Amino acid sequence: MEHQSEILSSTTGWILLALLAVLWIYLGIYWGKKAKNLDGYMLAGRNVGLAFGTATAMATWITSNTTMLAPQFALQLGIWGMVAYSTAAFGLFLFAPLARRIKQLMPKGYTSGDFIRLRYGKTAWYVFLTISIFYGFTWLISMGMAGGILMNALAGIPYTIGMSMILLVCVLYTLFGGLYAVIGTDYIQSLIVMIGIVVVGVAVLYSIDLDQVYNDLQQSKPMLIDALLPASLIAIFNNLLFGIGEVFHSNVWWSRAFAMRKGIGQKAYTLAGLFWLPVPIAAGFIALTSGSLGVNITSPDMVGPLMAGHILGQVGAVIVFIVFFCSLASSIDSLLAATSDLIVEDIYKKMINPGATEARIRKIGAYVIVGLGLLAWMVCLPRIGTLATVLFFAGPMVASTIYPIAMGLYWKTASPRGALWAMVLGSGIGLIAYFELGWYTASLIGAGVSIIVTTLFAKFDRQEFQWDLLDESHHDAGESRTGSSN
Amino acid sequence: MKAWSTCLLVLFTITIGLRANPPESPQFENPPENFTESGYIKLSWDWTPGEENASDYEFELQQAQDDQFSDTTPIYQGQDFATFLSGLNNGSYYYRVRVKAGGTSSAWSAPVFVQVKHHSLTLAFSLFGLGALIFLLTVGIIVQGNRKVTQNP
Repeated sequence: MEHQSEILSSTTGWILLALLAVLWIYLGIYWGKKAKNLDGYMLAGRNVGLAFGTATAMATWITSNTTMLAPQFALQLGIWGMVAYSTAAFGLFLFAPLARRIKQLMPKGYTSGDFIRLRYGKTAWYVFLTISIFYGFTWLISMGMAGGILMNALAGIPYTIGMSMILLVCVLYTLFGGLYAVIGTDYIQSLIVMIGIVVVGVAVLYSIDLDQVYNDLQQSKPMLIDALLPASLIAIFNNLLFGIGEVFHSNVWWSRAFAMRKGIGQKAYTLAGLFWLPVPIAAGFIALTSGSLGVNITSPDMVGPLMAGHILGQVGAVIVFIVFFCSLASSIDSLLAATSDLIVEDIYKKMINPGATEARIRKIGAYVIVGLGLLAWMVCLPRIGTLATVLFFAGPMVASTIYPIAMGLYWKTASPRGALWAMVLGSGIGLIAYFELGWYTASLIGAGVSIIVTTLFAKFDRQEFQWDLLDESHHDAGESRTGSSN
Repeated sequence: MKAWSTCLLVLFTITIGLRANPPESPQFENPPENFTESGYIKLSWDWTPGEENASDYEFELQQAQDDQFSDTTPIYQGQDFATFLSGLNNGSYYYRVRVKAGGTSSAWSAPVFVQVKHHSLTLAFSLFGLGALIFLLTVGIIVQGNRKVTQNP
């Protein structure tokens, strides 16, 4: 990475890192005591209420993507880029009714993979698992990298050590506490992030002259304030559809829908979307002030943290460090837990060892969490590119799952072949657009192909699906899934 | 005494010689010709400071509309080895960088050329419209589906 001046002394950085590591691991062990059985460990006892439900959805969606990519969007694509990023809130808004439907159709479900397998059969399920695990892993890598980049830029902590530490801390507390620990820490992390963003936002407004910012932009970066910047116009709905695809298919969100009490999911996701909506605008705006404040940006994904640190000084830099650490941890833990559930439930339990006991499944889950952390660490070691490059590569794939999920939940006629081809063609053509037109078109094209294919098959390859088939508690009532602990 | 005088003379000559020799020019890591359709690009350069100026150096990056750099705009001055440019209008841009170390400036680097040609507005509005349509259809699918299952669970 090119040299960029730090905003915090490395001693302070190390102390903060150690304190946060101890706190989250202690809380993981504390909350982990609540997980008495598999439902407790994987789904927090399916008893999460509105406050924790809203906080965990919001905290998980405030990630390195929000705190680092939203400012990057503003720096690359201007005013519309900032707005484009905030449209990811629609992923949460539109998932709200889906969460209710999911809980209604699959009261004892575990993963999004369960839904695809029961709704569309094995071939579509394999494709879906490939997409979902690839996306989950890409997201995990982008955040591991973000942790390393961030601690290096803020406090001069070497990239490898910062990245290793954040992954290690999250692996440990997720391992000890399962979804209880993830949701509990998310609650605290979301409060810290919200307070931090308000403090940064107020400080920015007091320290800049808006007229000056506008004049400087007009002179040195005129297209950033041009309402007709073509790349940003294209990016608006691309990002919106990417956000919808991310939320609709990912087990991170499905596991929370299963974990929330009946009647909570819809309200929790709607509230989380409302709280989340202004965050990328606040985070993105400060990127536009970099020119006026004379801050050189060497890597666009670092513009957010650097500007916040620059504006707030040493005390502010401490706040920034804590906020960014929390925003990363709240997503890494969720991803570790949800991806591990997906691998254990959909691959180990359904494909390899259907008769596995609860104790065995939990043990395998622990191995998978450690394995995922280790694999992510290995891939993160070389810094691959900017966060957007890494994450948006998965964009067309997740966007292609939107309609197999949405239509599959509401339309009896949505067919397995339609779902399969929607995902295959949507991903393929979307990836061509990624390389031919730019990353800011790929999700849009992937979603466009997916909606056409799913609709055509639902019309011309009609099947009448029986909703009861989605409730596995009817089929395997005899299985000792939640009772035994041998 | 004579030996001391000779030593001092040699040292003086070396010092003068060092001061007189300008540092090596930094070199861009970007290819000589670059093209962007989105108006942003990262410029980075390579330069190794000597022991005598490990922290006493400063880069200067300039932009011009022609390769003769007849009318230059200062873009960056500082110790970073890269800068991220964005919000550029359609057009041709030339950049060059030099370093000032130990009181002397290097020669300018070989310039890099950046051609900015934004996507056409026709393409942008077509994709914007397509995105809006897909979004509205998605909302429609969910709202209608939700209404159906609420009325007829």
